[in-house]
Amino acid sequence: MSMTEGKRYSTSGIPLSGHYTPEDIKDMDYSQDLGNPGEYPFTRGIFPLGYRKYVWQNAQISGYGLPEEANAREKYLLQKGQISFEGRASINFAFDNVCQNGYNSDHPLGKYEVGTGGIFINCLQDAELLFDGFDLTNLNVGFIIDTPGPIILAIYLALADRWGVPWDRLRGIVCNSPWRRYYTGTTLCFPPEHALRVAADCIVWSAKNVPNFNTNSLNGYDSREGGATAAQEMTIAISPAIEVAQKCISMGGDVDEFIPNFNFFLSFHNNFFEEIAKIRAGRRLWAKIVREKLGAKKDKSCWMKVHLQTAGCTLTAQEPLNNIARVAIQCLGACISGVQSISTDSYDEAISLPSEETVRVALKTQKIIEHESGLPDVVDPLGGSYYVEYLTTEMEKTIQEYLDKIEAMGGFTKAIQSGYMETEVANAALKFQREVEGGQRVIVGVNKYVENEPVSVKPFRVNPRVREIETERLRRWHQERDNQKVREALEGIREAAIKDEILMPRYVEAARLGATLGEMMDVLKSVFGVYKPKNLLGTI
Amino acid sequence: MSEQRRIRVLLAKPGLDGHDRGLKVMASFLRDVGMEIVYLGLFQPVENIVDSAVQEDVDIIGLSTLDGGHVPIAEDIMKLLGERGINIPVVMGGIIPDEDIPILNHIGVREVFGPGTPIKKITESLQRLASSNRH
Repeated sequence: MSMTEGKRYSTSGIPLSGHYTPEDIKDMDYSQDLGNPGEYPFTRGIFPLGYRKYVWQNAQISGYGLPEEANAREKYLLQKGQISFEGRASINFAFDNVCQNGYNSDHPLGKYEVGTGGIFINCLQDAELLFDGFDLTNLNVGFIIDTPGPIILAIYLALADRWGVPWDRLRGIVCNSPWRRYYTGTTLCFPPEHALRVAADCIVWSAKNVPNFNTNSLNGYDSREGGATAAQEMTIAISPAIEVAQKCISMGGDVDEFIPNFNFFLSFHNNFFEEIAKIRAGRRLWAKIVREKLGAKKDKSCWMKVHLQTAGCTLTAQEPLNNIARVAIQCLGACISGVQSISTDSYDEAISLPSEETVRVALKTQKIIEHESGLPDVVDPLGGSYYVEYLTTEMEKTIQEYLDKIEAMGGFTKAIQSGYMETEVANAALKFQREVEGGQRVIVGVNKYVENEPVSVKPFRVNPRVREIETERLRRWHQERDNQKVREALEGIREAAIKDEILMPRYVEAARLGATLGEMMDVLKSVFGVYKPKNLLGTI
Repeated sequence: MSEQRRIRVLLAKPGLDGHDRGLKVMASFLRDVGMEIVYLGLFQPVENIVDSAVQEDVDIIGLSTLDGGHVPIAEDIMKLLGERGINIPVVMGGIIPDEDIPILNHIGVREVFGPGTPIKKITESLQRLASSNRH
């Protein structure tokens, strides 16, 4: 066989040999390139003791229907063992499309999707029902919502006030990462330059006022689901992180104060070793960027904290039970990579929202790895592997090349505005699907080993009356509040938006008085305008 | 209508669902086999879809939904087409449970393509629908 016949590449285009030797990593310097776990540049992990001290947080994404229905699902998950650090309860809420776009549930555009793909929080009353029975001081909550994210956090802070919980006792994360919305899964919110300001406003203010709450989830996951490669995914996470950090600094933020509240939201796809290398390379690269480019002094600022979700797009509607194997492999890889938080997909997700039974299997998959594999005993078990170290270095180079390219375009916002990001992701998706159609890429049960049998999973159904019920609740809510005071508070938001003043305390005040998410977003949209999706198709 | 004319397909995502990977890939694939694509993309109200279908004189309307709104969306679009006396076949794709397919068919959706449907099957089906509608 000739040398070229067996040529293989990772999904990010890195050439792969049949095996690796010390020769392939001869330039590697242990202390400079790796360091022990918990030491700069954190390639091997951010904590010296890894999972011996902090086992990853179970963060199943969930949420649907009315607030009390979502509340019941969270209690179910908690009872099945979904926990966060130091034994706190863990909740990770997805939001419906209506809320993601900044509309209340009764908005005409929300006709089809209220409560179908996530929860909604229109106002303080919804938040009260959603968290009923939970001790906010013993909770780690995730709000997976971007452009309207700061307002959702403000409603949560108003709830904490009502329940007498000091803000520094609150823990969790609001994604607040609008950038992903312009190249895949676009939302009808502000144009990118304004979205950047609104996000930075939340980050800088919260670092002082809600110090233990993470306020930025740098999202590579959505681009990956949209088709990006592993290297593109990490680039798409890191590049806006640099830009928003610089924006925060320009608004007077102290990098060592706000950047420890950044978190990364990444995918674990099907190319096992490349994914592990991606996360190790990302940690090393981010640490260097934070120290050298952003000027942070503290080690903690250099940590790339990772929340990881298994790759929903790899799940098949055909033979859904096979997805349990896919998720288990991806979850195992995530644990080997040393991430801080994991959401495992349920095996019916290519068919419907997960049912109680399927989400339980997904959660227990994490528990099996934790308790039955021996994995948490030793940090970074693949550290020093010729192959993994070679791949880590090559991934870092590939990601750096992309970052340089985006910087040469003038930064991430410019790369969005030019349509570059959207076209890149669309092209990667097209290439992938062509390989599936052509049979070069095998998906078991889809284009090889196909079974002609009907799908046996019973699809989960969301309560069809959600929108109707919530519309009535909103009608009453409007009647019962002091509308004059709400109008004044909304005017306060408008003024702060126009004058470039801090927005967050204005939202909190408005939320306390009963202003809704939709009303606050409408005010901001009237000042900043609304982005029009480009709808760019692949060009390859 | 001339047999030479290429099949024109309108592709849109109704409602607010932002998952457009599948629809974009589909647009490129259908172009590859010689169809003309009117790509409306994200956030399309059903009125806009019907108006565009008429203005662009398309042979088929293709809708994608991944967030569970497929049944009411289908009801609204078929109702509007019916009221205006427009006879353009509608097909759907995305995350749609098998047991909903008969419901969608009953409403008037001609074909439903679930995840992993081979492109060949989709193109053949669209060709058949377009030609039966022209005769």
